[in-house]
Amino acid sequence: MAEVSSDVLWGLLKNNNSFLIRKNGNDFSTDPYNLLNAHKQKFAGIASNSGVGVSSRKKSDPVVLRLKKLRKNQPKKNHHEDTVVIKRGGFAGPARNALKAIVESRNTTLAKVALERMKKLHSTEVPKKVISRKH
Amino acid sequence: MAARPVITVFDAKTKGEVKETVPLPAVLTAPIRLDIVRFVHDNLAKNKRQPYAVSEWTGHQHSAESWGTGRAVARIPRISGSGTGRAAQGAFGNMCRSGRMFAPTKIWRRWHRKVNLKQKRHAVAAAVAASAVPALVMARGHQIDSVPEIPLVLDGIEKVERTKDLLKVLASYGAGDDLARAAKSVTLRAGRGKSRNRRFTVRRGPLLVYDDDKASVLKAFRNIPGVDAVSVHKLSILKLAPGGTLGRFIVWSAAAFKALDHIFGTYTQTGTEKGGYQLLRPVMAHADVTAIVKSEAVQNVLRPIKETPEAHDRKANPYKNKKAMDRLNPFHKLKKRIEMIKAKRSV
Repeated sequence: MAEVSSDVLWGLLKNNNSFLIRKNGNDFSTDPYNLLNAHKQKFAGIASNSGVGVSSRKKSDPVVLRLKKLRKNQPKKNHHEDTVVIKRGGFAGPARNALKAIVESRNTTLAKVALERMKKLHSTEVPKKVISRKH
Repeated sequence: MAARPVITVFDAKTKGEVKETVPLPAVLTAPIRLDIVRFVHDNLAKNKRQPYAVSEWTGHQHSAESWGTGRAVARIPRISGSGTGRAAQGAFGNMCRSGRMFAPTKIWRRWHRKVNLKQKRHAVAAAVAASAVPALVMARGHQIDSVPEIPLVLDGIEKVERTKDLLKVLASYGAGDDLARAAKSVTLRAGRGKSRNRRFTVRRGPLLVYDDDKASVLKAFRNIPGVDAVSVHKLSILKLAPGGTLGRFIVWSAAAFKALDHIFGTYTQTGTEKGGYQLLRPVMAHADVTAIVKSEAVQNVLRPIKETPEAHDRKANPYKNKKAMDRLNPFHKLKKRIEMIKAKRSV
């Protein structure tokens, strides 16, 4: 549980990890804390000590936006979860507020990216139906 | 490190009940040296190999002799005898049909590798340390989202007798997802290994580390796909970092966890069980480069940021850019005008 610095973690994970997908010369990451699914240190939430993730946990769940913050050695408590089921016609309030909290506490660039991601996920929702995430 | 962080020991029987807290053993803070782990793993993985080779006499069980020169045939040894199609055919060479292969494989190939004891120990320490970092365990592929704490230490897990009880214990501490992943992954092996007693492949699930060799759990875990068990006194890099990848999900028994300091020693004391073993010291005490750069001590000594020099415009070609030409040669405009007027007049 000794805190391993994010630089060391990235050094260990950049060549090989279970979230890494290499296609056509591009590197992607299915890391749940990665906002762009890009395999880059800046976006690799898994290699950072404080990360934000926007995703739905399981494929069979309805598209649900969760915000996760990585916290040290307690995976279960890692998820500061804001479960937001996407409703038709705009973000639900809690999601917006949760993102605001992120802006205040950390990297503004990441918050923008997180917001973008939420918008994209939101726009793929088909109203009334429960769809499974295809990612 | 000032005060050592503390790890919770949970009660295996009762879900979520905290038995006690234990200070973090020093091994878990050992530097995570992927290079050492890779090297040691690659070499030790070779030690379970069984020799293979072709038969010594394959291809040579003939009394073939070369016919030499002067008979309008290649000089390759030829099968002696007559009365059959086989006679006079080439023999022995790797290029000949039914000849011996090039460089027949021998059983005295160097199959096994010796690795220095110290290196092996450093590798194990690194792997154990890596298993205590949730990011690494997740990145290795284990599903540990529901695990209350990493490292996961359970008191009383060694006493579990029945497989189904062990399954219950593991599930109640969040290991169920990882077990499910392993169970789901059982597939027929691709390739010939199928018919060579390696029929199925499975993912690696949690690793149970125990202390007592006679623990009843040692029979309980056997039928659960993906689960291995290893004594804390005989930790193996092959189990701690399967495939050379750091960060296996480990479920420690309380006794095993507490024994770690005694086995590996600390930074102030060499290991007892691993006689005289001294844990590696990290190259950097604080490896967070960003934090170092942002720290007061560094910021105070930095020179102020240089002002970025004014960027100057890209040079405009006066022969193409009228404004640029005007700037340089004001007469040019007039000259052009005169020429234009002349041309008009002469038309």
